[in-house]
Amino acid sequence: MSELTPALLWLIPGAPLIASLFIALFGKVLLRGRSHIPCVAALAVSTIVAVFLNVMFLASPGSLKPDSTLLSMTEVVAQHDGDAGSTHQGDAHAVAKPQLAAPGFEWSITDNLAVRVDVQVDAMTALMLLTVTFVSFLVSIYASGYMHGDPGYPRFFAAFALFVFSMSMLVLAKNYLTLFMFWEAVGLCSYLLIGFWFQRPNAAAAARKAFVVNRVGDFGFIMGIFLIWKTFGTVDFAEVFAKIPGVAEKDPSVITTICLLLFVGAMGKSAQFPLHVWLPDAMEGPTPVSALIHAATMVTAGVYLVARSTPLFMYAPTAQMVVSGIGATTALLAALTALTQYDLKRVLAYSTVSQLGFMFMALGAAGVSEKLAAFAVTAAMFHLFTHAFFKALLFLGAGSVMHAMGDVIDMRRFSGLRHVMPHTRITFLIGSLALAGCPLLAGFWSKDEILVALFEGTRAGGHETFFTVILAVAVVTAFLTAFYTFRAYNMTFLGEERFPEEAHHPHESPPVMTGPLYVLAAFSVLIGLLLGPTGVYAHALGQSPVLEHGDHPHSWMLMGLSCVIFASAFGLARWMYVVAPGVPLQLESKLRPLHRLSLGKFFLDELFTYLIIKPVKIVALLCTLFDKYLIDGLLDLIGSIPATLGRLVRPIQNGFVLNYAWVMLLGFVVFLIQMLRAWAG
Amino acid sequence: MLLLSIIFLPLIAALLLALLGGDRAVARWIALLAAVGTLALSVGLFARIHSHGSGIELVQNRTIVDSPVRPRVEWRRTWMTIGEITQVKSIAQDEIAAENNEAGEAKSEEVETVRTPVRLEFYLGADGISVLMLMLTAILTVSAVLISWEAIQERATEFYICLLVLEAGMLGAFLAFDLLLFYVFFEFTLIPLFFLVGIWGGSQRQFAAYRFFIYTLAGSMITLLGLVALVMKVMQEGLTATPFSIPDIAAALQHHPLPDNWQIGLLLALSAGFVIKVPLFPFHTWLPLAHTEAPTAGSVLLAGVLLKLGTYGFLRICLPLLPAAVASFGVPVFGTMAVIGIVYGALGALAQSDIKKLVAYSSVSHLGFCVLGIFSLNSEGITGGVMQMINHGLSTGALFLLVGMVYDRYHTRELSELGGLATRLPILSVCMVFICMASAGLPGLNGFVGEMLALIGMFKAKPLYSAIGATGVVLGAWYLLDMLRRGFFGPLKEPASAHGPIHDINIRELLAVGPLMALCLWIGVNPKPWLDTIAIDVRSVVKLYDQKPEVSAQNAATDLTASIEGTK
Repeated sequence: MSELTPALLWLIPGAPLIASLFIALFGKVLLRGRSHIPCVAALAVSTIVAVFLNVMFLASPGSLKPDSTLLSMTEVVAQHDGDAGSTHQGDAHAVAKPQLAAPGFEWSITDNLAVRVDVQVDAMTALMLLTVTFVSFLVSIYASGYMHGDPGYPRFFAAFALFVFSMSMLVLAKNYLTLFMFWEAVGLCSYLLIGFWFQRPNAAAAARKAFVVNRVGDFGFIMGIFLIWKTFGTVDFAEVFAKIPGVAEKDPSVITTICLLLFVGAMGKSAQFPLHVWLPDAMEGPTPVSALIHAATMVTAGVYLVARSTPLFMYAPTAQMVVSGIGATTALLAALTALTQYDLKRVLAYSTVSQLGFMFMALGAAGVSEKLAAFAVTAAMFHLFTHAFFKALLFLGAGSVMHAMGDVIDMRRFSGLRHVMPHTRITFLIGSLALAGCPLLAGFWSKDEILVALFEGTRAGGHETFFTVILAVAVVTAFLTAFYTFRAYNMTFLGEERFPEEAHHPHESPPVMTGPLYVLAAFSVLIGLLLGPTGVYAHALGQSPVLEHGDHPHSWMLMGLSCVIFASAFGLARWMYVVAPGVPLQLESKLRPLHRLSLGKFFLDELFTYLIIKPVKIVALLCTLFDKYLIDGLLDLIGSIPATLGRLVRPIQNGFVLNYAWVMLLGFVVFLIQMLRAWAG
Repeated sequence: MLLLSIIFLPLIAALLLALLGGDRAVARWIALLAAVGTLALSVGLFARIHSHGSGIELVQNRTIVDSPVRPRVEWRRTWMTIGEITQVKSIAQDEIAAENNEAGEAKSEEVETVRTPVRLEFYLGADGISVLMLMLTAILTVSAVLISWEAIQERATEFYICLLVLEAGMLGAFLAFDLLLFYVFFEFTLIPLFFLVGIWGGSQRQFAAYRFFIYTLAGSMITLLGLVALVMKVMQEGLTATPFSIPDIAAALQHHPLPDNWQIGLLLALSAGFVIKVPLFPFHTWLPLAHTEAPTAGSVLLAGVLLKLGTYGFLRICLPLLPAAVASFGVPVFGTMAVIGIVYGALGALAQSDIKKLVAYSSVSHLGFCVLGIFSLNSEGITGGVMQMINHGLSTGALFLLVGMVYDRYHTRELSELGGLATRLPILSVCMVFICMASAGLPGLNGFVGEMLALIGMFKAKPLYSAIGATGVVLGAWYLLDMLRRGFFGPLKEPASAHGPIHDINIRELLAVGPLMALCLWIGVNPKPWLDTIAIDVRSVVKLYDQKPEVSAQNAATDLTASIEGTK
């Protein structure tokens, strides 16, 4: 087994990569309508390996026996690795934390910067891998139905598999630079898939926007990596974390700067205010892509980055507060925006932004005390985990609706789909309940943990007021979440039955699409209850070397509050959109400015257009004018000097031989006089 | 002999074309054969250097032991002797003297003067950096020939003669380890390019050709003055008997640095030609004009190789020979110019609607990264700068090829007249997206390697420069993806004048651009072999700057006083 470990680890990203290349090369000529087969098969392989890894980690009595089998595997790997062996010795004191690594290859080396592309699995990575591969597997099955008949069918699955490869490499990365490389690679896949229907101007614009806004975040990220390298002399996770105490003693502000820069990267990828503007537009892509990349997996990379860097953030309480603050702002703003959107997918997109904000709120609470750190990070990661399932479910449900409604997604144009689409309706309802925090479903448990973490933040020293505000925002956002979720559900599935004219014969989606919906629904119901209150997830994640073991606080009071929030929001949504359907319009006319603000997404896009894009374009135009008139003008001026000089002396050279003769004579005379004087003198 | 044959193969082919005359069909095959042959030879040279590792091949029983510039393969012949110099034999010469079996006399402590004849040489060589540049030149020439296959209808024979002569000139410049020879080749390249732009260019071709010719010539005249002054100074100081050999001068100057004011003056003069060639802001305005008017093959070679002569000049001449001035004066001055160039070029590109002009401005931005890396003066930065030279050559060369293909089909490069080409030209568009991503520095493709190393090197030296420079990466994604969105995505829009059936990329075009794309991917996924090739050469330059700056300043100060006393 131990001999096989490196091969197994490489299999997770390797299988989708091979599938992607295969589809890219042969999809168009050979596979055509069967292009999904290699992709689905590869993802099945990856999922099985990921499940296997997790079982191994969970079963390993790592925390008890220092000489675990897993560690010996690591040593075997280290021998393969040769020079990287020293790295593993650094883990010697953390014997309890199981870790697997497989050597890759040396990517680049200069005198002071050696970067290897290796893969490494610890508990955090294993759980991320499980989420990524399993959700991708289900979505790929769904997509084989959803994308059926599209002329770009092979292209879709090639990019899809490439995404899973990049994403799993991202979480498998052993150092910051490799993480960054695949961080950008998932960005590329996102670009290709948002712009999948490139003929649509909106899709092309959204793809570009996503890439460029992400680049802004990546600018911060790469600067952070540079600073890490300059400060620690390495970019390897384990080596950096080992050196933190020494650096923190000398200059704690450096670590704060590093953390803030890394967080800028996370803000871009995980769509945090003000860099979240790309995510709602990204809904122009095919719905399976929205489900997988822009809800379940890629957008959580920022959360993963911050969680992975927990040891760094522990030394940067200021950065932690920024993380929490930005998270809270994002969560609230996005939830408020989601209240009034009519596009079902956009409601879900803003909900994703809002839920990511929740995760960051929790991550920020990790800085309050060392005891709380593990719990707060666990809460964030657990929410990431549950969110991946129910949000993918909701998006796929929305896709099913689009499929039936002839690609119409405006909720004003259809309603009462409960009879036509019973399977979609029931699974969407389960997803909505999970997202809204209905007791016992997945979202309830993970959201509750976040609230507890924030509550603990208000109690443990230092920043009581700050975390009280954050907690209040979280509670309000939780209420809004439940409300807009059921607003969307009620508008879509309840009420009188109406279809848009684009829907020729509204029908339920085929089993290949509803099947994955049911699987995701089952998980959305179960994973919270099975893994949350039992502490299984916390225990599993606790095996990660970046987390110290900590408390697992609990609060009946908050749990009760969660129930009340859910019930009241659910009731209000039901009253407004089912019982008394006139109310929303009345409210709209009474609160017109607020409604406009929410519907206009707080006009952030317009703000950025006028504050950043337009000015940059004007400066760009000025640059070309500067080139054309000032620089070239100056050059022409300099260039004209020889010609002008030539014109000045031209009269002398007029070609009259007599004149030349006179001048020659003059010269001769002067010369003669000089000679005579010299001779005489 | 390999070195000589690399230069002479294209020249002989050009001569053959000139003598035979012949028609287009024959001319292009001969040109292709010569270009492929040259590529094979330069790959052979690469293999030879790679297999030797750090070893230095001994030629003529001479080798440069301790110099910041060390060719690993060399071919040097004395051309003539011109006068003699008075050389002061001191401790510094010991090592060289020992090599020449004069150990007995030289080891004595006393200083003695020797009169040595000054030799003018024909000195070719290659190290890791130059061999990569050679291969880049050779492969881009092959692509240039292929892309001109149908596009050049008039005076085709003359066209290919110019192309091959241009190739020979560029190869010569990268192979020259002799100041005079370098300068000759550096200037020589102007002539064929002048004809390429002036005869086969666009509507404003003559204006563009004259402007770029005069402008770059004016700059390199000042460089010539600097070279002459440098050589005279070296002769006057009696530092070496081969005052044109770059390795020899560099070795000598290591121990007897020129006085500071001399160094700064020389740096200013030498760099005059280089900053225009690169081009650095504000000397860049000739470039967009020359590019828009040049035929595709001309643009490919101009952007791909000729601009690198400037950065190569910095790297080969300024850095090893004038360390004190580069460290104190060059870094702030050229660093600032590079940073401004990165941002300014990117903004300029953002404002363009002509794809070719956009790519031309992007070159200004990308070359800024090269200079930024080179002037970080550490191994990460310089490695990054060199890689960026290669990468920009590959990706921008490919971009110009693709733009040329679009132009061949639609006779326009205006983004306002084009749109949604991905529908009509799917494979070409895939290539375009690929190359744009490479150019935008996406990890896994080549651009990232160079940009990242250049920026991280500069971050170590001057974080602010690096931070401002990195905004160029953001802007780079912006203008490239904007170009893709406007030209290739969205609903199909073709100019009304487009006549005849429009076909997707054909095999010949794929052969021109495919190898470049493969290299982009290779360098991006596994840059290590390429970095290893140049590591030794970079290290020997960096060694100059690793010492504490105070020491070299002190040396310079003592030398300054010494030279003042000497003149008295």
